[in-house]
Formats: sequence, structure tokens, C-alpha cells
Amino acid sequence: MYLTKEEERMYNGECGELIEWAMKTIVAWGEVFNAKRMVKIDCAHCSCSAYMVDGKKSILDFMGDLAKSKPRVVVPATCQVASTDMVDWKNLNIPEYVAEGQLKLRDLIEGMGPAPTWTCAPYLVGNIPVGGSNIAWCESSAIVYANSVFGARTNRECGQSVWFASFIGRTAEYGLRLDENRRARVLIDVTASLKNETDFGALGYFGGKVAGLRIPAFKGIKKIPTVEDFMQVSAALATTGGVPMFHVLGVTPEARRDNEAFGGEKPEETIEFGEEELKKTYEGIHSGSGDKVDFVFLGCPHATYHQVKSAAEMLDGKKIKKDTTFWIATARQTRNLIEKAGYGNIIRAAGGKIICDTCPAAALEIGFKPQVMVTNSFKQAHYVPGQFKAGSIASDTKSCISAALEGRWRA
Amino acid sequence: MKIMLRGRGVVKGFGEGEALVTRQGISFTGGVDIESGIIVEKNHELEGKSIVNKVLVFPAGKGSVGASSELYHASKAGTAPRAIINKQLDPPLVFGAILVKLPLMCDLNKDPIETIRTGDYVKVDATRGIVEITRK
Repeated sequence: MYLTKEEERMYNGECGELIEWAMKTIVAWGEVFNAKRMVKIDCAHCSCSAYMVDGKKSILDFMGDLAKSKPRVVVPATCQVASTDMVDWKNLNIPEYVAEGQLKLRDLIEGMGPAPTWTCAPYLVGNIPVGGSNIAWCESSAIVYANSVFGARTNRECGQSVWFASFIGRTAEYGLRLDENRRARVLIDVTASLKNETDFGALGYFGGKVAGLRIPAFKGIKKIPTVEDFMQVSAALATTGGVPMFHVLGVTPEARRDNEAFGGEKPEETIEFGEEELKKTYEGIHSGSGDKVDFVFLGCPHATYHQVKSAAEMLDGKKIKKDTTFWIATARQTRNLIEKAGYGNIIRAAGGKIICDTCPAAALEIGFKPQVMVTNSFKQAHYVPGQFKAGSIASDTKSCISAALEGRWRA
Repeated sequence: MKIMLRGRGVVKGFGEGEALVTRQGISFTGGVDIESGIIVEKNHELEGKSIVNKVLVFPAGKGSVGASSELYHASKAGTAPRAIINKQLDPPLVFGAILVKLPLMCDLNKDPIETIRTGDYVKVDATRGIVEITRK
């Protein structure tokens, strides 16, 4: 791989051992994918942040090893979700060791300089990449969102690759950083009518299965999707597949002109997503028996201000069923605004909780053992049965709220 | 019976063990309980199987990009596979394999998922790009 004079100095250890390790690992990684050179990055979204899912002791060891060199991120950066609400963990009834480990990890990470956002949706709280810029992001759903909706460029990075890239300010140029690898290969013909964000989640869940690592393009969607729709399709695509990006023909920035998404080529495969596929996708993820629901979860990816506000309006003056837990997860900055606007009180009066910094899939210890969870997110519904040995149901926000009020699921 | 395959050594090194083969992608975050090495993803064809000391053969990484942390954790916890054979490379999994020096191969001269069966004994020499399969 070609390295500039400055990069050679980093590679040869002239800028310290950590920079050398970071440079050598990224170069080796880039060479696997035939990278010809390094490329500067404009921003980063840093992970290794969730104590429970990133390895407990092993992630503290890893980040602790990095911290010995007192590294600082050299680009604007945000950080990814944690394993508990670090503002409000004392009210969550979680084991002490989770909070203790997480707070140690928090201190290590905040010492390296990213904004303490602790969210899976950094683009909602100020990390807004410019179209065409190179960025290094982790969090599978945010990667898909950044590539597809902003037209920024990131590969599927991982916690370690983003930290290394943020210390050296660059990464290897390959994959999604090159025009030719951003083309769609699979066409998904959407004939189903998508009525809400969860339907977009279903589309993503189906799309990830059929696309695998290939980039899909969607055609036939009858409206301009909302931010929330895009968040759900992004998260679900990166749940069933290793999809790094998608196009919506006529809508997303690299698919506005005829056949631009496919680079003038024909799709390898065309697959229909009709009413039948939509229905089957909901049925396919449904697990658990009976109609009793003891956990309703919204906010995967972390809810927008608008989503928290809408949930509050639906809950206003009502009571969540006793023995049913209702959580909505969002970024701490969004929660601050929600509290200022008074919606926090409405949700608490109804018996619900606003959680920040985390979600069940990143927390694993949530202070209780759910039996059946209803959620508006296909991603969260996918991970719950494996992680909590609980049933899960994906459904639109309105039915989630009804399930919370009644403690029952009505199909 | 012995079968030899050739391919590209992506992360150099040698690893051997019993093969665990699937047509489905594997997500190390959420899909595998790293403390025990058991695959927990619901409805996965390997649900309940252990990856510990196995030669894992699957099409590609999928899902969360936490694969590198998970592989790092698994290598510390002693629950890592001995080698991985993929058909396509998912960047986070490759980064994790580089970090923990886990032999990783792809681009084999025959489809590894059709050729290797669960239970075969497999020697992966990713330095020379050779896979030796022994079937009982």
C-alpha cells in the first residue's frame, strides 16, 4: 500500500507505539481488501463502549491498554451505546458489577476525547457527515444510515478499527470508499404498502436476508421515507445481513437519476416485497406463546425527539398495565429536551420510563426478566430471544402502546 | 478419506479442529454467547452448537459490527474457534481476526460449505493457503 511520508513515520513507530500498532493493523486490514492507499477521515463514531456485550473484563483490558498511551481522537467523534443508563442506573435495579464495569469503561472512553453522546444514532445528536466525505463509523445501523441517507462513506467498521482510525485520522481506502463498490446489485421491488416505520423495518429484515453482503436498491416505495423510516430499514438490513448500504430509487443521494444506483448495469436479481412477504416477515419474527406481554420497548435505534413526543401524547392521561414494563430509549441530549418540554412527566405519570445511553440488547442486565417483549424495532425483536430467552413481537408504535396499556398482545 | 482445497490465506497462521459448517451467516454479537461459545441466535441452523476450538465454515459475517470485540473477548476467554473459512469477507470479522491472529481463509477452489461437513477434521494452513479435510 502507498503511504505518505507522514504515514510512514507513523508506521515505523516514530509517533509512538500505539500509533504504530494502529497504523500497522489498519494497513494489514486494508491490504486484505486491496486498498492502494490511506484516506483521511472527517469524523468518527467510536464503540467498544458497552461493557456487557463488548467483553466485560476483556474490553476493559483492551481500552485500558490503549489508555496507557493517553491517546486522543484527532477528528470530531461521538461515542456509541453503553450497557446501562449511566445517568440513572441506580433506579434500574441492575447488578452492581454492571454499573461498576460500565463506569470504568466510560471514564476510559471519555478520556480519549469523543463527545459523550452514548448513542447508536449519532446523526440525531450532531455527528452529521457531509455527502461524499470519508468517515469511520461503527454501529451497524448508523453505518447503513450514513452511507445511504447522507451519502457519506464508511465501511462496516468495528470498535477497534474506529478507535485506531480516530487516533491516526485516517483509514484504508477500499470497499464503500470507492465509487464502484457503492452500486446496487439486487433490486427489491416493493409492491407492499409501507404504512409506518416498523413496516420499513420489515422491509429491511427481509432485504438483509436476501441481499447478504450485497447492496440492495428499493423501488416502488410510494412516499419519501421519514428519518424514522430510514432508521428502521437501516437497522434491520444490518441485522439479517451484512449490508452496509441501500438505495431508494429516485430518493437517496446516489440513486436520484435513472439507473444511477446500478451504475448502468442490470440488477443481478430482482425480488418482490409484496403484501405476502410483509405479512410473513412479521410472522417470522413472532415468538413466544399466549397473549400476555410484560415488556414494551421503543427506541431501537434511539428514538428521535418526535418519536418520544408521540409516545408521550399516546400515553397522556393513561396508565400502563401493572406488571408490564414500558421503556423508550433515546440519547441523553434528546432526553434533556424531552424533559424541558414536559413530556418526561407525562411518560412517568403513565408508568413508563425514558432510558438513555443504552437499550436491552446492549445492556443484557435490565433489572428484570422479561417473558414476552413487544417492540417497534425488528432489530431489537431479533436479538431478544437469544439474549433474554424471551419471546418477541415486532409491531407498529400504536400497537406497542396498546400492548403496554392492556398488558396483552392483540394481533 | 482426505480432501485438499486451496485458497487465499487472509490472516496467516495454522489452526486445526472439528468443522462446524453452516449455510447461514454468523453474528458474533448477540448471535453467540461468548462466555460459553454457544450459538444462541434463534432459528439459526447451528443454534445450541459450540464454536469453541472448531474450524468455523460459514458464508460471511453478518449483523452487528461487534465481531472484533467478540473475537478479542473469545480469545481471552478461551472460547474462540481455531480457524475460520468464509466465502466473502466482512470487514469487522477480518479486523478481529487480525487483532487476535486467528487464521482466516476465503476464495477456496471449491465451495467450502458444499465440500466440508460438520464433524470433518480440518487443518487450515492460512500461511500456505491449504485446507486439508479428513472424513471418518
